[in-house]
Amino acid sequence: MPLSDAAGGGATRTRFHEYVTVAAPVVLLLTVALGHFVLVRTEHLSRWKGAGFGMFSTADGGSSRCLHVSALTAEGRRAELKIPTELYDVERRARELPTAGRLEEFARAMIKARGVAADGAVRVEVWRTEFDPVTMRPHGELLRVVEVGAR
Amino acid sequence: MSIKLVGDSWRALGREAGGADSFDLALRLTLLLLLLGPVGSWNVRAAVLLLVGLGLVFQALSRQPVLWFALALLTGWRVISDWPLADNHAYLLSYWCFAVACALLARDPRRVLETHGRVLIGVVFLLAAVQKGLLSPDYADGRFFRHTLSVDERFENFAVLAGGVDKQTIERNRRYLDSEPHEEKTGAGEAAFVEPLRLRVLVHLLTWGTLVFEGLLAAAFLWPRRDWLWRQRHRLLILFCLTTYAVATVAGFGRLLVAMGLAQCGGETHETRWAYLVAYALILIYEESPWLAALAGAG
Repeated sequence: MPLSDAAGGGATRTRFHEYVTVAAPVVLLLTVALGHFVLVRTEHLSRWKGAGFGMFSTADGGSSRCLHVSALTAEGRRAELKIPTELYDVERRARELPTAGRLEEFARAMIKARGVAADGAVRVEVWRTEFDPVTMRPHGELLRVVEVGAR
Repeated sequence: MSIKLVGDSWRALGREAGGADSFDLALRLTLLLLLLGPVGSWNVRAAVLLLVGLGLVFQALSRQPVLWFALALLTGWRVISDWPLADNHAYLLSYWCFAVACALLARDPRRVLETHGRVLIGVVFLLAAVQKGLLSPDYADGRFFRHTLSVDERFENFAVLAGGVDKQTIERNRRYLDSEPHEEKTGAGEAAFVEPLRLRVLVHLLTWGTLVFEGLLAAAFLWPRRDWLWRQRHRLLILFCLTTYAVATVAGFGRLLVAMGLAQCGGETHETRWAYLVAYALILIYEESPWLAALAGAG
């Protein structure tokens, strides 16, 4: 190969390398941020999480969300279930990003932890508190519900 | 004799800090913030602390890309394993470690790291401003700060001092706002949300002041021309860090922004470098000392 072609090829590779070293961190930030926006819209991800830099932009997050868990019997009775401490971490993750998969995983963990009857089911509701713009009166908005049978 | 010793030490510190290479200072401050706020589960933390210790003790090692790629991977792993719970500055820390590693691979590491710092800060503040101003359903009408000043304990002393409200009122408002949302009747009952005029004014000031400030920061750091606005970026960032992190004690974020800002001080004056270092120190003091609580208690 003529020396000039080798030198030209080397300079192109160096320029490409420089572009990558300059662009890579910002491309990474923007890619993850794009994922945040998609998940906020489709899966109710809290704006405080997921690297969209929406912290301190909304009251929706943390203690403004809660999971309400109840056991359902075959006869249609419903009883509230307390979340055991060993599931607090799972519950917190499900609260911030309440995908159907996460809630189902949490419901199955609750079935196992609370010994729900084989013909029963567990219902998991994710609620978000919203506040009246004038009076700040809180009211709940149901974000997602899943029911998982114990069998 | 002791006064002369203090004076000599102070002058020596001034020469060291003012003349220090801003690139190396930025790297050292980043390592220091990882030391002061270790991240991740025990195994990640141990590995991070080991690398940070080696980087601080052996300066030549702090300039090796492999150290920073390792830190980027470890801090990134922490974010992934905590998903989706990690705070936003945990991601930014990982991006910054990655940026340092990439810069150290470049022909001109200083110039590349300056660009990384400027663009990353600019985009972060742009995203923050867009989230607040355009996307959030409850920011622009003041609901966010009306809620936060009562519910978030980090803001309680600030609300007492600047909002003219007493702790009993804050507690009553907190109970009003914290009722269970899935009940048919909210726990609010006959109670009302109490807002003195001074608190309402504070809410408006914080709401619009924060939005405008973050928008200005985004503009200054992303501005393509090196004119007046571009020249204000260090002043704006330092002022943001000194004011914001006095109240919202997310010290890790503040220290990281300072390190990223300092990386862009290659052509700046000694005073600018000093101002960043003072901001770094003050954020440490804000985090560790109960100064707001003391002022709120005394008031």
